[in-house]
Amino acid sequence: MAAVLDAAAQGFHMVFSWPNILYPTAATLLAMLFAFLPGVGSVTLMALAISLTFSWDPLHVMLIFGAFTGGATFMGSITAILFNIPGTAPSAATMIDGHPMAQQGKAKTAIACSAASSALGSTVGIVILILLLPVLRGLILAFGPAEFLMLALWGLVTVAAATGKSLLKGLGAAGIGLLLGCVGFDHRTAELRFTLGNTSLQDGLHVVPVFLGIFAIAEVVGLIAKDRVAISDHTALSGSVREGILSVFQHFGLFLRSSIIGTMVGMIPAAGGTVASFLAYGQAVRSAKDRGRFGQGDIRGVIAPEAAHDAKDGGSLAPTLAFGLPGNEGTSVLLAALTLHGFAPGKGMLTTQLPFAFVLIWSLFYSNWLTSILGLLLTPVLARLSVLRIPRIAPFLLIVAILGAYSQQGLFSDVVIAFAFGLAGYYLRKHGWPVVPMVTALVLGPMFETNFYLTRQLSEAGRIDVLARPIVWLLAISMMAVFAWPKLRSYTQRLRGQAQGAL
Amino acid sequence: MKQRENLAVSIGLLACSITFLVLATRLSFVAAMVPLSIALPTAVLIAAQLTIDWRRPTVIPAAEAATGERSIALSMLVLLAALYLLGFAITLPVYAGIQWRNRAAGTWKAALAITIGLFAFLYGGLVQLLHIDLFEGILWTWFSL
Repeated sequence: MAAVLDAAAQGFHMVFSWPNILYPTAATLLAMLFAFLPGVGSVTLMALAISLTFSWDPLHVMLIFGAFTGGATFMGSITAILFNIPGTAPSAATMIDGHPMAQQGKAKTAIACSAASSALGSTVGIVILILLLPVLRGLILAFGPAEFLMLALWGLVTVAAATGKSLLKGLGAAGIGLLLGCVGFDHRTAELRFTLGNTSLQDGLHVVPVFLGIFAIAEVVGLIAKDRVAISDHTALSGSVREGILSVFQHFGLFLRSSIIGTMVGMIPAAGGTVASFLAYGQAVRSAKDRGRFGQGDIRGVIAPEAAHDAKDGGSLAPTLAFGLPGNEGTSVLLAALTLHGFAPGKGMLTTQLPFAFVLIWSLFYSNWLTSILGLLLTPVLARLSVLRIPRIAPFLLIVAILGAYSQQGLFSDVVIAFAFGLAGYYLRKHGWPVVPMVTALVLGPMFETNFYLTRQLSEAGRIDVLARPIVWLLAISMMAVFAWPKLRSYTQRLRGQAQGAL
Repeated sequence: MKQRENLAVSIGLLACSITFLVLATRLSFVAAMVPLSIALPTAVLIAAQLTIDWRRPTVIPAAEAATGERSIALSMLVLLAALYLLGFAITLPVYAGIQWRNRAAGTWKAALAITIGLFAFLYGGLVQLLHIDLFEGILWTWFSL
């Protein structure tokens, strides 16, 4: 541990010394700008930067790539809260409660809460990463298909929690979401499923066009159809930056749980921020006494996904540094940049090159805090966007959604998918069909199916004993506890009430 | 009308789940196992909801009632068709300009400025500067332009 702390101190000195600090600062500002531009995102920026920084000093490359990873994360939440457009796919979970808050005139509170949760969440993620560095390889290897399956199951429980008023409609929507997740190439049998001969569906339905359709385009259609004057129902904005920041500390337990979930999910290769955000949102709903307020502008629905989303950044560096396994698109570009500059992820990165690993970690930490501080400073200005007239901003929101859908793969079919889901999403929401269980199931469905088959095959071959794996038990117990806890709590409250009545 | 629309949404979802069910039966056992085990209960759940909707008409609150949905849906389809034919760099600026002039009741000058500004951003900024390929539209390919 002493060697880790020594490397952490060396890395800290390299990042925060003059003029090195200029690199992550400029990179963060650039990442923030790119996150706001329609059609381009942080991955595009990172891909462009690889060729531009080819001849640079490796230290400076580390500094800017760490900042790129963290810089764009929080910005996606601003468009999610204000316009119901997820700047990044994981921000979709923030929209569920963040956008209703903006509609209620509390955009300032929601953005400030998002910024505070992001900065603090990323800190928790990085602290956990540092603490786990000595045992990182063993910890990651402890996660196999059985653990992933339990994790997906744990997430699918979210569907039940976020069902809304009608259980039938919620479960039906979740079923449709799971079926949509089955579309595409089946890797076990090499069969194409539900593609209807369409080649663009061979890789399955990508979540970004679906999200943009269901949330952003449906929202634009709804705003125009309902003749709303502005996104916010109130011309005078209520709420404050202070209220938003304080809310994180008022719900500190929720924040901490969400950050831990985010970090752990981030460590799982290919699970990604979207899974982390929705898992955290689900546990926020399940652990709440009053679930009815979720989806209607509950601040806890902003804290949980934001903390998890940013904490995930720290976690996602773990498999990248320890094994060279990218956790998401961003870390795969980062991996390419590291390799080009002579850094070999693996044992070396966690031993001889550990100070450089810390350069990446501290740079990520700095960029997360810088974006949140800038976000907080800009909150009053950004919140005013929610009172702009709908007819003026609706076309631009639609354009952002179209470019966002197209930019993921450069396929026109994704735009068609976004429009189709936009119209479907509008009518579903209008008639009380909840879309949240549908998108949650779409995200977690493939993870569930793949690991279900892998676990079954490995178990049948006698390679693993599912019941002898402690993490499986831990997840199963926590899942059962999540179900039992609200009932146990209401029972103890009833007993307490009876006891007080008797007195 | 609202009741019919409500039923139409439920019927649409039921048709969707049945389609998945039918298509899954054509797959091999391994590939069909998970979709079948999801599609069947989903179809039952949606059918149950459809029965409820049929017997108990849903009343949509006045505040939620929407107007001009068909024209909005139609304009979306026109926009999609224009994007497919003319591409992003032309359709999106023209669309923004027209919307600014018609829906937002802005001036012609402002609408023109928005059109030119957006074209400059899309074509100049994204395509030329950042080398990001935007969809060019099939019309230009047809005419070999």
